[in-house]
Amino acid sequence: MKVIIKIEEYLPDTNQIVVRFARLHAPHPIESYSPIAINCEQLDLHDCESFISSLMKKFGNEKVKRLEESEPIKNEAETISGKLDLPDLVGRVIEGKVEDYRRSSLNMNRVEL
Amino acid sequence: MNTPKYKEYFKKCEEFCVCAIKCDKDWVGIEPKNLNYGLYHYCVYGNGKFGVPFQEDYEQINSKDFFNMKKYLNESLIFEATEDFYWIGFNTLDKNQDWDGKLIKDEVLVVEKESWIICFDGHPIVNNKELSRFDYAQVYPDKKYEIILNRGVLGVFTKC
Repeated sequence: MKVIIKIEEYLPDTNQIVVRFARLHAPHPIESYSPIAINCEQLDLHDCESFISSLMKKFGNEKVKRLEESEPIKNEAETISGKLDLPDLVGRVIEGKVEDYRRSSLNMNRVEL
Repeated sequence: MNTPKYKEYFKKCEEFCVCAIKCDKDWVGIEPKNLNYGLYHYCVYGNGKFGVPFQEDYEQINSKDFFNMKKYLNESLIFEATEDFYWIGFNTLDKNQDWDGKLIKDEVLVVEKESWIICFDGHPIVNNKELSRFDYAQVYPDKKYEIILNRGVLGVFTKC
């Protein structure tokens, strides 16, 4: 997913920026998403790459995730689990996940024999 | 250019840990020796290689391979995926606690000591119970276990 960022203001007196975040493919212009004020001391200002990276890590990822979850759902989907039956899935709308590729818990399942 | 992604999974069970790595082709990763508790690894799919950093030798990993990793227990390891790759590790909780492990090939399992079986792949059937990946069970010496591998993969692990 690509995210877009608009810096509306830079406030040198308080070393803050006022920023809007949106998904590149968001249904509305970025100006329609609410801005937040961010203290630049919380960001890595070494260069553009580190600035964007720290801005996204500390604020953007969560903000965009919340925005996405607040958007209306136009597709109903079902969650499936257990044994796979491909023919049974034909025509059904099922949920998948965009994985964040970090460490997570393995679903070990103890059984008695 | 896309950066190869990876995801690690980890679960501490009663007497051991199971970990897994899923990664994209061309991913390279390091496991420092202080985190390396792996005794056995099973490759569900993909190809790759691993070895000790700064040494010439390495081992090739192929789909369905089962590795005894004990000789690397006190080494850091470097991994490279030459294809999309998924592998599962059986880990001791204590590097001084050794385990014997193997894949089950026979139709009947009898163990001499209490042991654990872990389903690594497919849907093998043990005593009429169908298992799935990451199902695990304790098995006991006074009992016989009838196995239908059903193209699945089961490991059995016994504390030494």
